[in-house]
Amino acid sequence: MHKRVFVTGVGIITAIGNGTGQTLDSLKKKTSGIGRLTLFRSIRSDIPVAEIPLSLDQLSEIAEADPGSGPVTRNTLLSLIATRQAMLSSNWDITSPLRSGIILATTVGGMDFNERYYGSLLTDDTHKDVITLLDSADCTEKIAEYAGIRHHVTTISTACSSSANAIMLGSRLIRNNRLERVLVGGTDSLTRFTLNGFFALEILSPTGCRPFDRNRNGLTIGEGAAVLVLESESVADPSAILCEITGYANANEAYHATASSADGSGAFLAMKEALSTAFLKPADIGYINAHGTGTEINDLSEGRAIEKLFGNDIPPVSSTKAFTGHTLGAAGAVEAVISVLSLRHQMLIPGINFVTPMEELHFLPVPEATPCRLNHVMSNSFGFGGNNTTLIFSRS
Amino acid sequence: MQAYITASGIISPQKTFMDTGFPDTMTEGISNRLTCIEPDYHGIINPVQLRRMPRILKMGLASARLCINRSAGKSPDAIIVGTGLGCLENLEKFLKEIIGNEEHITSVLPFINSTHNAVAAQIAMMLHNHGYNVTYCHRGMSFESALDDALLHLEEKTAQNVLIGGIDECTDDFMQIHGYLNYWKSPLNNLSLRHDKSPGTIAGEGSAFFMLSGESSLQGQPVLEGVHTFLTPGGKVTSEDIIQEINSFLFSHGTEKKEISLILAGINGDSYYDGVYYDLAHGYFDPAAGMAMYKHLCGEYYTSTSFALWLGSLILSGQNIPDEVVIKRPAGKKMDKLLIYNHSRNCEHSLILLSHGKI
Amino acid sequence: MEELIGELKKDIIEALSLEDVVPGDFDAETPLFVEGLGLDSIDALELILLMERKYGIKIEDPKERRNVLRNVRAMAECITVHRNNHK
Repeated sequence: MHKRVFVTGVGIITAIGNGTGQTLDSLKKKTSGIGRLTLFRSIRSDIPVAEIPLSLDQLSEIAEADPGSGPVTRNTLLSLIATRQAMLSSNWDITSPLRSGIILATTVGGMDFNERYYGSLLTDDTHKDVITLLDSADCTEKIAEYAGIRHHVTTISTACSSSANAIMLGSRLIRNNRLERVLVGGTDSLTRFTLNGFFALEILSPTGCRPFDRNRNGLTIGEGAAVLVLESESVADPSAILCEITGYANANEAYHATASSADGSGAFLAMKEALSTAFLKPADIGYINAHGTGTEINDLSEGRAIEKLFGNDIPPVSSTKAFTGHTLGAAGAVEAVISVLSLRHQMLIPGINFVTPMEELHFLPVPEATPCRLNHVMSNSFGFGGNNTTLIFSRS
Repeated sequence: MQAYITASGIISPQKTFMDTGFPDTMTEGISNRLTCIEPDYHGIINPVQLRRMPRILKMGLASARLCINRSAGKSPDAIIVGTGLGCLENLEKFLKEIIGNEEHITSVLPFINSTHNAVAAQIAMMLHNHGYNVTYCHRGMSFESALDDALLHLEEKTAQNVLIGGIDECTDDFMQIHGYLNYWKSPLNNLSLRHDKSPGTIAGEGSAFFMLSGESSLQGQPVLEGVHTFLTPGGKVTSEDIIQEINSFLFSHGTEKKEISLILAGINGDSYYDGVYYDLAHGYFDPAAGMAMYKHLCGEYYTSTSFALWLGSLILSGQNIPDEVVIKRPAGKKMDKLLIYNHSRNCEHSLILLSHGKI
Repeated sequence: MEELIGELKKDIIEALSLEDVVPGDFDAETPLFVEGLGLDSIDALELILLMERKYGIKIEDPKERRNVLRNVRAMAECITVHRNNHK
């Protein structure tokens, strides 16, 4: 009755590369994408970010966007690049009659255009051609049109767990035979809005994030897009299968608008329930790609939750946010793709920018890219508003 | 998978908050923008939280609270919200500070409160709820996405009761900017909306929350049979396309066209876009079927179908169509099934099928 | 000092939208956080912004913040010292 859910294609673009090849290379070589802000002028330009060093025109060229189709936001271009990769790698046929859908996620939507044109729009209608590009749905609809999908189209926005929730919904739709294939993922581009917002919350690292380090001092914002093709066991071409999604869960902490609780109860719940849906025990997990933002609160709370759940069987853990930065709405999907790569290449991903262990925790992040027999990988994404999502990927 | 609509709580431009029935009097005025009638939030929301809550959060929390109170204290297993634009006022506030004040920030709250899932998150905090919590933001399909997810949860048996909501606010900036795209009519009496043959519509807003349950708690609670959405990019769509979608939707829910007693249509007075509703009424639906509208009461906004769901539920459970919303009365006495059809400028379309609760 | 304390109370009420609170409801020694006015971490950020924006004082050290923001008198004293240093 329930259908198995397979990942048959992935696409990714972040500060550490365009595509899975470049991404994997950077992960193996421990090359971080964190550096100086060059994309736009800001009084916060001394704060490190993980930007994709490509202008709108350059992204447009890579995405092979139709220049005649009018202005396109950075979010849409990044999504298009990732989607094209995913569709290509999965041999997605636009003309196929398979029951298909698309679920994308974002927190900022067309905010790059909002920042650029809002002042003008409050004065007159000179830039009225961008009005419909500003919200969170525009990108999804553009990608839906590109992929030839008209049904089961939607956008999720739950802060930092957004695209993990998109992947979860896609999995549920396939598992329950509502859909046979679905594009899932998320995008967020670097904006003054989020840079200043996190600055005001005083959780931006002035040095570059250091996940799980005793001297961690905040998060580093990144940008990126990642898209996965999920297919039902009934239709997936076995030669295209990368791995299986076997577990997922979303739990709300209901503690505070922006911070997680010290004991990580929300994180604990999400991880526990994901294991339960996958019919797995903690000891089955070979690697955890942690949310690990590098903030004082998250790493402590997530770390405690991991220790409480896994007890003496804590698997290798790392956060890849010191590579890609925190890509906000895209983080869940970016890290899902990294988790898929980890499984495919049977490799533990290192956690970089780590020097000093936290006093409160007993595990250390993976130090180097390490060959390892992996059957199941867990990926965590925890967002503002206490929105905690965990996904489990399994070798197939 | 079906679900019973076992409770609701709604804040709208009509007097819908305290009483459970259809309001005695309609609010009307000469305007192109309808604004919610809000309750006194003291006593509903914790004062410590209330003090720094933007308007949309207050509306969401209060209507959710009311819905929960009417659910005989049932705690939802999941909270799912649809909002087309999210916490727009706070987003605008923070954005204007960034661009107008050259990034000199005077307050951090607008940023915190600008996240799309702030309403759902605050509701979870209010209820100390640790269940599934997701927010959909996809224009005129946001609320429908929430409904669909809720039905899926009930089907999976991962939830017995789901709190779902549709919420959007209107702001001055939104009015001004979308005025450039000729979205709005000149000010008129909202109750005469459908008779105005000019382009454009009137803006609205609202917050409507419902408890969807696998089991009914009272006789005659309306049933949500199903929901369906489809995109027609660029607004390129014919009546035939829509008929095909409706046929397919009804068929998949074991329903024949003639069983639809009433079409609750998203008529918004816009001469460019309303035609399809009348075409369907005259050329597709059963001649015995009635037609009603709702946007003259709540205005046009992305999650207006949540208002329609409230109205449709009232109509079915009371077996009565208020004069204020009827365009054409159904021929039959008893109303069994009701179809809500709405589209956003011919691009995003949604269908919601309701039926009269059977025991 | 008393005039500054009065002004600060009004600033705090406005910045934190304490709608049901008037300056007479709390005195200069009333704890601002946890007990007393019962403010939280988000309020702390707002007050730090207030100190910076209106009084030109940047307080970055967490210990110093806890000290300065413990009550209105401590805030007033900090402002007075800053003003004296910048004469």
